[in-house]
Amino acid sequence: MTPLSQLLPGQFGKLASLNPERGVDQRLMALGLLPGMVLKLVRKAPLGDPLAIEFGGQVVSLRLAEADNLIVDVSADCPIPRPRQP
Amino acid sequence: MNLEAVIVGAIVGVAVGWLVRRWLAAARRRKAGGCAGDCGCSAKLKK
Amino acid sequence: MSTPDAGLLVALVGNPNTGKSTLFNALTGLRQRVGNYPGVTVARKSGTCDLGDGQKVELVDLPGLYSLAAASPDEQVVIDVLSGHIAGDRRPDAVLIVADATNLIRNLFLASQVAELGLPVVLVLNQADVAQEQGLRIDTELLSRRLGGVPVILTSAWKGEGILEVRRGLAAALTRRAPLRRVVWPAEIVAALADVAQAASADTGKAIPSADAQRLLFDTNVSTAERLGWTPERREKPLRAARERVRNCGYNPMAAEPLVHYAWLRTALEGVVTEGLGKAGRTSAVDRLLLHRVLGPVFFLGIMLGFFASVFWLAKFPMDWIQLGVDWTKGVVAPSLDPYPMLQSLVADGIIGGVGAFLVFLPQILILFLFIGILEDSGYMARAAFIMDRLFSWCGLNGKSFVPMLSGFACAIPSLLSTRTIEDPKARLATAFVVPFMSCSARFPVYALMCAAFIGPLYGPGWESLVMVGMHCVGLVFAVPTAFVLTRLVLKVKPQPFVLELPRYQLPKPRDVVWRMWQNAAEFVSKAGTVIFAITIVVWALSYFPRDAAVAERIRAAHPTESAELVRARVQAAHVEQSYMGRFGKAVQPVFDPCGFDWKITVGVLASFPAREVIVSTLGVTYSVGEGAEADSQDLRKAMQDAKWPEGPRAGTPIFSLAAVLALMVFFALCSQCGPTVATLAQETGGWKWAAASFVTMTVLAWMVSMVVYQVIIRLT
Repeated sequence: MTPLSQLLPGQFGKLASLNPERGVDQRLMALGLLPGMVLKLVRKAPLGDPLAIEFGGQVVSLRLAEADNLIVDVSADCPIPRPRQP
Repeated sequence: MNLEAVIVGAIVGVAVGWLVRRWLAAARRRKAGGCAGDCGCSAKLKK
Repeated sequence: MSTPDAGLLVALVGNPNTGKSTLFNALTGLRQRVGNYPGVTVARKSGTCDLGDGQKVELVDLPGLYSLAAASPDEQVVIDVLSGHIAGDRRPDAVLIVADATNLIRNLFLASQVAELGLPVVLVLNQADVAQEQGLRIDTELLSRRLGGVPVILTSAWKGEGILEVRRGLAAALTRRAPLRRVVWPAEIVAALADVAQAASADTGKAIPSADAQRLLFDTNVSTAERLGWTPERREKPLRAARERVRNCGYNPMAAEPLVHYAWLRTALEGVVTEGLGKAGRTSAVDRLLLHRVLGPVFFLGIMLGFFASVFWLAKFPMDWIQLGVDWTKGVVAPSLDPYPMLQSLVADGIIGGVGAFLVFLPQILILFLFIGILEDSGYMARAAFIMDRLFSWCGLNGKSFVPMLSGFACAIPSLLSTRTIEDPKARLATAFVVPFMSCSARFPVYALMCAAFIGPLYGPGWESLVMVGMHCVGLVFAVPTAFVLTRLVLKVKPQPFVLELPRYQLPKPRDVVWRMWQNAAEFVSKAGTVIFAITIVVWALSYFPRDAAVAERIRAAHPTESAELVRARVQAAHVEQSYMGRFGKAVQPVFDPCGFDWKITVGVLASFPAREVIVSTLGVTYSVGEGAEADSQDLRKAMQDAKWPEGPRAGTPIFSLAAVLALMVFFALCSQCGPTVATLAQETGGWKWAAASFVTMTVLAWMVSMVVYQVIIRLT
């Protein structure tokens, strides 16, 4: 289990938990990022922050500090993502 | 008073009156919480 | 306010970046108007849609949002409109939900929330062409059945496909009035919602529909409670109890809504979408370049510089044509008024000269709005915010402030209004305070005039462009430390959440972009034709009166040996000097003397408070009134180039020395809050305190920097 902020660009993971009390997490949930969802850290911004994460066929920008709270399971049994990209 | 002065006076008077009326309307709109700018808001970013 | 002749009202709702506005344009055929919602500053964009059977409905384009759990006042308007809570507007008769066909489930989250409102729905799956390219096949029949029989229509608004079906679907929905099927809530949650509704109803005496109960239970923001008048003291206990109830059946109350909705949607969408082979999207490939660690910022800078360069260069030709047109008009009109010098002056110098000097800058404004429109529609704007966010977070803001700041380069007022998308009030205040530093389009005319008249002829077009760009940067240079001080030290803003979708890149639809540019231009021209026109007349009057014939006599007597030309020029100058405007300018001028301004410039600065573009018109008036109203009189540039200090320590030297020119531009860069901007700032910050602080700070800063610039450069040249 690692915080999303510590993933490397290109790495996949399955969302284990987030913090529904926070506004950021509520926005992410409304976008469909719920526990059990597969996500990918696409890249970091040129200045290092924020992150671009991909899930459910969309790419969303998220700050490093906010990504700390999203715990992700990076173990090997993540399903291969859909070949279709946005 | 010659005709010229009357015409000029009328034009200037209308201009002043129109501006005053417009600014008063903006103040009233602002009180009601509406937009106070002159721009008509179509320059607002598309949502 | 709904128009009486349209009858039925249909609301257009959907996620951002779904092509909703393109669809809106296609359905209304550009028969649109922009109004206001009373009590809110969100623009009410509406249009008339022909349903094909002679029936016409009024279509209202609501702001795009991801969830009815509104995060900002702009988003709150959506649910208020749909619930019929906007004063003066009726509840919509139907909702047209626009979804992106390539990401059905996320788009339908909003739809399933809208379903709770019970309104008739038409579901439009837009961007069907892209979905097809990606190899997706959507069974609209199946989907329609699963969603309760609502019309489900595939469209490509960009290509104009499916529009007819949408009209038919709307007509059908308005007759059959089929609502979207609602989510099935677990029994405990249903009970919790009932508890909330009951408690709120008892305390407020109002009927609480289930949609409202959900907002009360699930939202952290309290706008619904406030709107209902359910006070914090009264709602605290019932809400806590209800949320406890939700927790007891295994859901975190703050996560219950998305969890339940998405689970329901997954079932509803089973088998609806089949994924086949399709082309991989180009977006990720393009982003690899545009968001590259090194190339990304390079492209960004390139795009920004290209923007300013094109605004400057592309506009040159049309600007010259307009100037020719203005001069020609003056030349034709003025001689016919020769017997009436006062009227002639009013028409030729005041009206034509003044308004013309302002109209000349229309091409630049057009290109500016065009460029911003392209940036938004193509999807690059989000990337720009993504790149810039780090810098903004250093000031305690987030990349979302980039968009209001960028649009501040067009006009501060809509930019101030767009700060409403920033959720945190302190961050919003800080952004609003800093926005006026962005060189708004009203300052373009000043820079362009000064550069074209003084920088270009003497130093060449290279320097001309550089100075133009430089002036825009001046504002930025001071904006950054101001923002920092404001957010970190004065307001102590908490770090901002930043969740922004990076949408698929798309080619902006030319018709839409041009249409928006046209709307902005029409507004610019009508501003010129009305407010500026009126102000110019007033300024002319203040510069013309009082007129004393004795002045002419005195000057002729004092300079018996000079040519008629020279004497006439002196007479004209004297007339302006003793006018009301002249006297006021002279009185205030000592304040601006260290900045190198003469009284005419001072007058221009003062007179342009109601609208900054007016300075050009004012200079047009004060210089051409002073230089004679000949039919083919030189345009303003020449007049200024020839202007010299008449007396004092600088007598004989040009007024518009390099130092003065730069000082004036810098002054404008830093202090150009026109009256309406100050008023809007007051309105947005809920009081005059911050607006006054902004005005005072910027004016003093402008004066000091302008003075430093002048004093330093005059010594170097």
